[in-house]
Amino acid sequence: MIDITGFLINWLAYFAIYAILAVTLSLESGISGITNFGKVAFFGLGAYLGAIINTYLLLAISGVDIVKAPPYTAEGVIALIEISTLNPALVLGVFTLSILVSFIVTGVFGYLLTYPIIRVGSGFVGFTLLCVGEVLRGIYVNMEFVGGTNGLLGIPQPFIWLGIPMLSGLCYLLLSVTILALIYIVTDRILGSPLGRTLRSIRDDDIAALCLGKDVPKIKSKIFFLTSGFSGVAGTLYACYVSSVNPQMFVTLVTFNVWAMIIIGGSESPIGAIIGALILTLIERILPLIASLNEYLPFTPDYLRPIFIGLIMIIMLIKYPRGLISMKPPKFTKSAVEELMREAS
Amino acid sequence: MSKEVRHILATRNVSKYFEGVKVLEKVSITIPEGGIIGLIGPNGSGKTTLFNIITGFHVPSEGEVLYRASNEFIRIDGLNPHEIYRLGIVRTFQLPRLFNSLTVIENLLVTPVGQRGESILNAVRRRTWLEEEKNLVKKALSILTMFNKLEIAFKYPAQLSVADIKLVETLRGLMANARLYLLDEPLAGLDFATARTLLNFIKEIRNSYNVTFIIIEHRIDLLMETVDYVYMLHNGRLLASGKPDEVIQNPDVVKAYVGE
Amino acid sequence: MEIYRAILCSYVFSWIYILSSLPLTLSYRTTKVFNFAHPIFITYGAYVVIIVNEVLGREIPLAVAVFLAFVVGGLVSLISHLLVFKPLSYQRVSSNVYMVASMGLWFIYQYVLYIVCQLLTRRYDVNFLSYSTIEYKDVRFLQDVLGLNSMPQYTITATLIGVSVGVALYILFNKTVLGLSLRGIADNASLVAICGVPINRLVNLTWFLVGGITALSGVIWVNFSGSTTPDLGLNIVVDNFAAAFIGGLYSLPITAVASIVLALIENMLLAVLNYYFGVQPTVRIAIVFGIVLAILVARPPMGAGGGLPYRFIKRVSRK
Repeated sequence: MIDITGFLINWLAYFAIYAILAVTLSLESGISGITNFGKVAFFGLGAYLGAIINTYLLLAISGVDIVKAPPYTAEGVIALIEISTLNPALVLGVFTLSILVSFIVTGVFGYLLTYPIIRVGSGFVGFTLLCVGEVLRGIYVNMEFVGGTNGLLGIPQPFIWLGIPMLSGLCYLLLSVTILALIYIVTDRILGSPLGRTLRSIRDDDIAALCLGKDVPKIKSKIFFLTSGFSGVAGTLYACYVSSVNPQMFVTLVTFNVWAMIIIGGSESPIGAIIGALILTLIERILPLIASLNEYLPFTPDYLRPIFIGLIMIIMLIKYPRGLISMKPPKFTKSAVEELMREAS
Repeated sequence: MSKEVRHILATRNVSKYFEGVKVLEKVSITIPEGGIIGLIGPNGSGKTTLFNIITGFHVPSEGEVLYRASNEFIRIDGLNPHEIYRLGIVRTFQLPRLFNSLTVIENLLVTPVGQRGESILNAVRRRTWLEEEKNLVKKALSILTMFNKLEIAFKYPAQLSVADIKLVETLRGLMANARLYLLDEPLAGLDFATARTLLNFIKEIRNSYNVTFIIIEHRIDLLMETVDYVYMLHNGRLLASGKPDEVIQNPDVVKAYVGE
Repeated sequence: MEIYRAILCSYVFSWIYILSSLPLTLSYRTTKVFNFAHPIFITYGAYVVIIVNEVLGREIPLAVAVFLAFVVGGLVSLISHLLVFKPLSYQRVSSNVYMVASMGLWFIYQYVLYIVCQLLTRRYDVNFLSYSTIEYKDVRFLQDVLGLNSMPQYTITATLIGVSVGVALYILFNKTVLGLSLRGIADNASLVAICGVPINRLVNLTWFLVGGITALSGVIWVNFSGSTTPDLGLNIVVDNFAAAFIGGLYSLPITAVASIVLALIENMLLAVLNYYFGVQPTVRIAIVFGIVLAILVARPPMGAGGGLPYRFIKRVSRK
């Protein structure tokens, strides 16, 4: 039988992580007009950074000889498991550090990337970012330091010392949801502010915005720093949740799924992004259960998912390009205006 | 022009070629601070191109554009449009470029320069920009009320009439709090009463804040009552300049408009 | 010997890149749509040949392969236009939406192909997910007749296809009314429409040609590669977009030259790096990407693809 609580915790943990990706994508692509077809690049980078810090640093601090027992060997993994169960403070400390480092490094990476691409059209931007994802993946495959094609295993889940899997899963879920809430609040505040207005004006007509005083490249770069940093954080959360990273996890299909989330939910609204993430992660969790009932499929049922999602995406784009939840005028301006109109009359 | 008048802008022998076609040739104009200057000429005479060059959208092929920033003249040709904007020069577009996903009032709120809420760190803390935003909203609403257009405040450009779009384009420019306004055919498509209100508003702004206007217009009758001085372009060259009545009676000017 | 092989590879890749990059530039110029499904046309072209080859008992002539690949590639492209891009244009959406939709199309086509490959692998007991080199029996015949047996077959195939397509397109675009109309709509559709030319049919034809010609690069590929996989398009697409960028998404001649240069750099440079430094071929994508980045920094195609028409050169302001 299916374990409902376990399923829920698992689903919602994935949901929280993907929702961060979706919300940031809606901010950078839906609102600011930076077509990010390389979302997985930042997600993967954050995941690998989180993996490296939570393995190498943890081992090093605990006095393990990382030359003799690097984390991609069995000895390293065993050592990691020992440390993670016996030393909660250290594990949590290193985990927090990894989140911060991930944010900054991935953010800076995104910021630097905007330099060559921000002056050209959205097609170039999309394509170049897509390439970045693939190039990074090629690097991961060829780096023995991060385990090459096999990747790194045994990344400690920061709450594993609690002893009870469901409890540690629940704690991790709460942590992820908290981070999601923080990112959501930041995004929502930006949208309701003059900066949000500027971003939408840049998306509508970046040349007019430039002529009306907006330093378009700089603004886009700063926003991209923020969204890339957050995507990196999502990556670290992911790596520590599934306790492993390998290059096959960070393929372009991931970017595609996140785009599907914001197209279905609404590309211009963070709530829409969250709803899209909710729906798609649920589909992703449920399909394997159904597929296992369907054993007479002569091909891998996994292959049906992208086809299905692609079809939904295209239908949504043709029928409801704004998604399920479309943008309403930011809360503040409207209420202030109404208040002033009441005063006037 | 008397010697005591400070000039805010000057172009010196500005020429512009597009792929070998001469669009502007050695145009030199000087703009006194606090003046309302008219820029007239038949279609295709290069007026909008001159605006484009002053605001940094194009770079002059020859010549320079000088602007009195604080107390000295600096060259602004070659600067980027947003940098020139920050120096206090704003322009409107002949074919309006409103932001389609923003309501009218949001469009009006885009132009004021240096809003505190535009930096990321401030944007997330509402208190830093709330006051400024409320004042800007008040200003925008009062301007709309002046034109009896309060009801379009929440409409999107797609829902507006052509005349309203043009009006919002101009008003958006006027919200900018700039020192030099370049208005490109602000009266096009407006009915007489609205046009009058707009010109009076421009005069009022000039009188209260001593800011400068350069206005491209075809509706010469209305324009001549408002401007202090007129420049006329024809085929990319400065054909005439002077007080409005002088220029109107200039036989070359009449010929240029009416034809041989 | 290594050099000789590198030269041959450069040659065949030049044709492969030209046949897949030129249609991309043409596609963008006509439709202003950045079609991320473009690589699929290559893959489908290749796989049509593979499937027919298997069905015909490994005895496929080039003429048949070219015809079928062209038709299938053209149809896939046309269907994409009619079912997706055209309905989108009625919604008057931003160009980003087209790109996202094309990405959706890419994934749909890609995974349909994966499923088909799996089914066929079962049916024919041959691995369609990594199919070996195909030999064209009529090219073999030609080689025998002309005494060219020492050259690898793919060079002959590439030359045959490349030259015939080149000649056909030259005649089409420069000597026929149809071709002139096609060039017209690539640059100014409304003007052509006013002249009474049936725009819709011409646009459909353009899409068909784009897909068909691109598919022909797949026909060359299966003659060259010892292992054709359904990911084929992904390997080539980076070079396609790179060549198209260099051509500013506008100039066909520059795109063609860029394709040749890229093929040369990849094959010759990689041969050198591999021989002297032991560098792996997987570095290829990094090299091409590096070239794209270098171009974007040094000489961004200004305004192309809808970007800001401004290179931010700071001029010092003086009195």
